[in-house]
Amino acid sequence: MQPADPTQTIALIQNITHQAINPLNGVIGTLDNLIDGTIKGERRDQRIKSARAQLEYTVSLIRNLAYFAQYGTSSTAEPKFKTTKVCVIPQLLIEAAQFFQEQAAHNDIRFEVKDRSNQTSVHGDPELMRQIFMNLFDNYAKYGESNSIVEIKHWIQKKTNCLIIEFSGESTPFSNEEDIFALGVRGKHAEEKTSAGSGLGLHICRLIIERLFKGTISANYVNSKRLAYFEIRIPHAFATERQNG
Amino acid sequence: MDNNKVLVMDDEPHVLDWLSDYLAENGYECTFARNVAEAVEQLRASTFRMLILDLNVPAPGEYGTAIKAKGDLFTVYRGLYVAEIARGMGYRGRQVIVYSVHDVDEVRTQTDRMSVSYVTKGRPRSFKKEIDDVLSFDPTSNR
Repeated sequence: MQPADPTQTIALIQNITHQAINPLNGVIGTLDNLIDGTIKGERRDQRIKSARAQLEYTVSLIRNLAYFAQYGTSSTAEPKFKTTKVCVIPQLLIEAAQFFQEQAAHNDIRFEVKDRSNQTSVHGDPELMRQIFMNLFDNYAKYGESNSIVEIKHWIQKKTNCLIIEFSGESTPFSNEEDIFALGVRGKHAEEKTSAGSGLGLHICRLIIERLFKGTISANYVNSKRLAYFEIRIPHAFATERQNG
Repeated sequence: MDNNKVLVMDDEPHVLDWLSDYLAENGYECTFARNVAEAVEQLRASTFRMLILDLNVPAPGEYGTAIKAKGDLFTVYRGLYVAEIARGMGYRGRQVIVYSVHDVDEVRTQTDRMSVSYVTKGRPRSFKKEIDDVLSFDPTSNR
């Protein structure tokens, strides 16, 4: 689970540094514009909100590093949830999607969470589940095709009581032979699309799902439809009552 | 010449609102290119008052091969390729700003050779000063 050699570690650190500095640079630039009066009037509020979103995004990147440090080494004892917290899936999906709405809109990509009233749930830390969803949305925001919709469906399979969450959207292709969840892996096409990828986000998704939720995550690219699918399966799912009518 | 147009090459334009705001406040309009191919296409289609080029951008297709042939420095800092093409098209060194995350000696040697400006990310005030310097210079005066 750890980087195989120092070169890989250095490449990973370089990628993450690059990915974190860009939004921070955006925030500093916006603050400087606010101070020197470049941004005036109604745009001030909009730019302040954008700066906040950029900072939150940077924090989510750093969280990936923290989760990697916590769960990413083979020496770590088998982690367990300490609490009886519940992840209500549609709520967490919507929160994560909203976070990337602006960035996705920049690329004419729309996120569509289906079956919002179906309160599929699993036991576990919602913070960790949100991080998984954020990493997947981040992936689509970066590699998704312009003028496309990313659909997210979630349901409980009656026979197995498994929660299934399926993401599908037009995206930069990847090879089905390649383990895109491995640490530091970035596909050839992904590198041609953007330099902004760490090779850590999908790895964290797999770590959290397998080690903490005892589930699985898989990815599949269908060339004929140009669709990238991600499927998460987590056992022992249940439905909760809706809290707000 | 489209005197109010600035070409910005960066694969993350959503974090560059601050730059387009600053340029707009000074009367300039940004055209964004997300990679080497889009930037070269823009350079062929229009003339710009200034070019602001991220060095770490993707180089899809044939450009990846062409850049590799130019050696390791260009392969890592692909924006240098666009800067070189721009200089070859007649853009003056003072019209071209390139930037990267860190200040790298080898890159500075190359940018000095090309006579283009080189700045680092995370220091918008010095970036803005560089832009002001470029815009205070009239490239048509002795072209």
